[in-house]
Amino acid sequence: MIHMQRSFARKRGERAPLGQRRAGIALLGLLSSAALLLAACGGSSGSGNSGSASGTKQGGTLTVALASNPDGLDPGVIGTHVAEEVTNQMYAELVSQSPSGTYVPWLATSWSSNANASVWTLNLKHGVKFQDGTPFNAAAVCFNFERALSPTLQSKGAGILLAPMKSCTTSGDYKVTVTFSQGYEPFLNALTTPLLGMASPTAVKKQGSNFNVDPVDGGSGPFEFVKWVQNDQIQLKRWSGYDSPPAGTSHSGAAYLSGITFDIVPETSVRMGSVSSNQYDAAEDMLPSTYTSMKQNSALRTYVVNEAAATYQLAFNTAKAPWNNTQLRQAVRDAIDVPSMLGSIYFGIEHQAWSTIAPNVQYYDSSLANSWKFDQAESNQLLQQLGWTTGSGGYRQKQGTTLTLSLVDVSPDTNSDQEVDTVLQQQLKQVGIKVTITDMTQAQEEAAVAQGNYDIVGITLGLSSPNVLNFLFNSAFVPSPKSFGFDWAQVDNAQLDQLLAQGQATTSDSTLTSIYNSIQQMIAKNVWTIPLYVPAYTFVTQSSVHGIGFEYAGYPDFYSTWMS
Amino acid sequence: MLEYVLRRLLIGVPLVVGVSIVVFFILHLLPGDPVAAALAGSPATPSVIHRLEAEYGLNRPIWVQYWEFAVHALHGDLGRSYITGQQVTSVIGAQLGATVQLTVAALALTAVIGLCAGVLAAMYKGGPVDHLLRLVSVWGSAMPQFWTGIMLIIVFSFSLHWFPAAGTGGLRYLVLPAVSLALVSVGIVIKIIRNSTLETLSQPYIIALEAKGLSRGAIIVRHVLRNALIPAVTVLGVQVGSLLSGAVIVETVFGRQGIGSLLVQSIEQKDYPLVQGLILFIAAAYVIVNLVVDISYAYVDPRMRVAVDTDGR
Repeated sequence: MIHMQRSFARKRGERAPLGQRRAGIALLGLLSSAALLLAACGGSSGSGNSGSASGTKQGGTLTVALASNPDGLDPGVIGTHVAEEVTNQMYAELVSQSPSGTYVPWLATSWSSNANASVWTLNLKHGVKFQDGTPFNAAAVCFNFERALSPTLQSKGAGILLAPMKSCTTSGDYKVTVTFSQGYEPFLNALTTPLLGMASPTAVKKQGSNFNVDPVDGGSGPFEFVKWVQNDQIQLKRWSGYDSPPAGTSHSGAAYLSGITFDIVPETSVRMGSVSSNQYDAAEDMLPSTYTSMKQNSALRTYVVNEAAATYQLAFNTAKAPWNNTQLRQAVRDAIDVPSMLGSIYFGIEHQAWSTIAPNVQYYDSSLANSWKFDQAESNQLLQQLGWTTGSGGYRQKQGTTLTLSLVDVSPDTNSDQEVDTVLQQQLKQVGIKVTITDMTQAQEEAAVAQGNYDIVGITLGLSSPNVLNFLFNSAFVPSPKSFGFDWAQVDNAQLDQLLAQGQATTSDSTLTSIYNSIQQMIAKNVWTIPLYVPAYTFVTQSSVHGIGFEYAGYPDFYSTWMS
Repeated sequence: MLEYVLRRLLIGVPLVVGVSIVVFFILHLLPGDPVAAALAGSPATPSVIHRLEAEYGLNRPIWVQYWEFAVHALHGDLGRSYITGQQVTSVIGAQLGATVQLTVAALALTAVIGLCAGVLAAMYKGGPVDHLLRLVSVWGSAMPQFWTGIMLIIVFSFSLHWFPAAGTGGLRYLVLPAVSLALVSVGIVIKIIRNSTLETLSQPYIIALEAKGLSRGAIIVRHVLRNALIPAVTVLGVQVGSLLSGAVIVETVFGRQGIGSLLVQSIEQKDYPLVQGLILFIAAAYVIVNLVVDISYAYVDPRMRVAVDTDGR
């Protein structure tokens, strides 16, 4: 039998025949050329870190890496935090809120309301223009407010903040009167959010439904829109005509930077590595595990900004047994070692929260600090008292039922929530509580919550007003298949509802302090939710970037930024 | 030939329609409410939610919703995204180029590297070159793309500064993502080409050619490569499919635009019109690519040409 492969099979040490070698070399050559071609396409990657040659503060384009794609650039439409970060540079608001929470005049010079805060009057700054030259006046303000409530706009943020508005009337060019169907003290805080940024009526009408993706000339802030390549990049450039920063800002006139480029880089390790290797000037949303090394890197500057918002808290489904029992919920709270949980996951970025709102939110009740502690013995005792005895497998049982806490969470993970879930599971196992974790998409989580298919779920809301408690605990917002709401603790308490309504209907500082203190203490006493940490916004820049400001709610502000 | 092409295209139509129906109903039957997803993070009053539901047409029976979608689709209107409000056709159009760029580049790399390496491995069977290339083949097809992608970024971008880590743009932005995407396909193609080349080399006519006095080089270039190409065409056609799905991961890791990452995003956000439009588009693309592969068979393999022409199958 002839061995067909003989010609090409070689014994060890035998060289290949010449023709074969030539063909082989040709193929190898082709491969190497391909490799060389690829390498030649490379070269040192440029960085956007170009300061002005003469070393002055003016100029340069700041390149910022964002973690996700904004859902639009029309302040009346958007609902995501990342969109607000970008629009914050493009649109000015009527009022600003300083880091200490004080309200500061911006495009509105002064404001007042009636006794129950159902009618608000705003006096506007004179001589301000939009980026397309349209004068800023009372009519423009009412235009912006009314369009947020129009059904065709599909507003996801502004429309909610202005929902109780009944009418907006003008008196001359610089006075606006807004009437609400009920007392609405949170209106003042709403005016400071990027969701109520002022857009030019002329530009909005001209662009129509395209304004959300192409808001050309429509802004009122220090930067104007150039271009948005979806899922890739947003380009802004300095608007030379800007001259109305909030009162008390250290400089006026146009911004220092000549432009900002926002790139969308969803993969956290790539985003962070790109800043470390000087491919971007700045990036948001740090990996907690790299925080320490980045902090120590003298070529970088790190910022950790506590957001004025609802804290990240675990909400019990208090409508479902056995978690409708306050003492049982307290036993869970006692069994959680929050400092060690936060330390191992967040490496010092997130701090323990004691209330349902962050310490820098107005009317935060500081008496709640350290009002409970990690106490396994206390937890075990409570559980024993309630009749839950240790059964097989180390979990507690009562009348044949294992004490189970079913937790639902969203995948892909945001802010290491899934790690929090895992640590929670381990810690509660120590006292005999079985935690089952189910990860699902955001839409599925909302469906599970609407149907009550959960015992506990993590929640936070990015509203900087204490009125965020209304959305989280008012019985009107209990989620159901027919109506979506954020009262995920299923709280239905008439006294609380009344307090929350009172909190909206007065502007008296002392009354508000006492109302919100009562609310926070009631929530803490009933352990409807367990606050875990204060959400923090993280940002890292090259050391050559100076003057980054952060809004009260945690958004970066590049008006005073310059690059050396 | 023309009849064959037309018949294949005609069969493709019910396929695409079937896919769109299945996807539509799956999307609507899965738990999760697109209005809630669109509002994610924003507290809303019931009136706002009802308004949005009416806007999106979600309060009508599901078959009515599908019928309206189908009618509009036939007129080239795939609806508007729930999230940005843009026309679906323009969203897809804007992002399509980047994915095509990436897929074509990866396919080219796969073809060139896979083919050359596979033939080389077969020619030097048993030697160090063969062992090395087989190792590369196994490694390439086994390693997950998000890992190889990040490794490539760490070495060639963060350390060596040869290429940018993220973004969409010219050739420089394409190299690392294309390599990362192509690695799996290259691994598979090397193996298949090596095997088909070895099989070709074992044919009696190769010995006959040697006996005729043809040089080794000429045998390889004129005879072996042509025959090795036949399974290569099948493999490459199948690989287009896996390249498209790999593009989802690669586009996310490298922060690139494209319909892969767009599809994942829109599914998570329950952006029904965008998901429908993307699936419709991808299904149509598959049908066309498969048709092109089948037609190209006829040019690569003369035996297929006869078969196609005589009985149109």
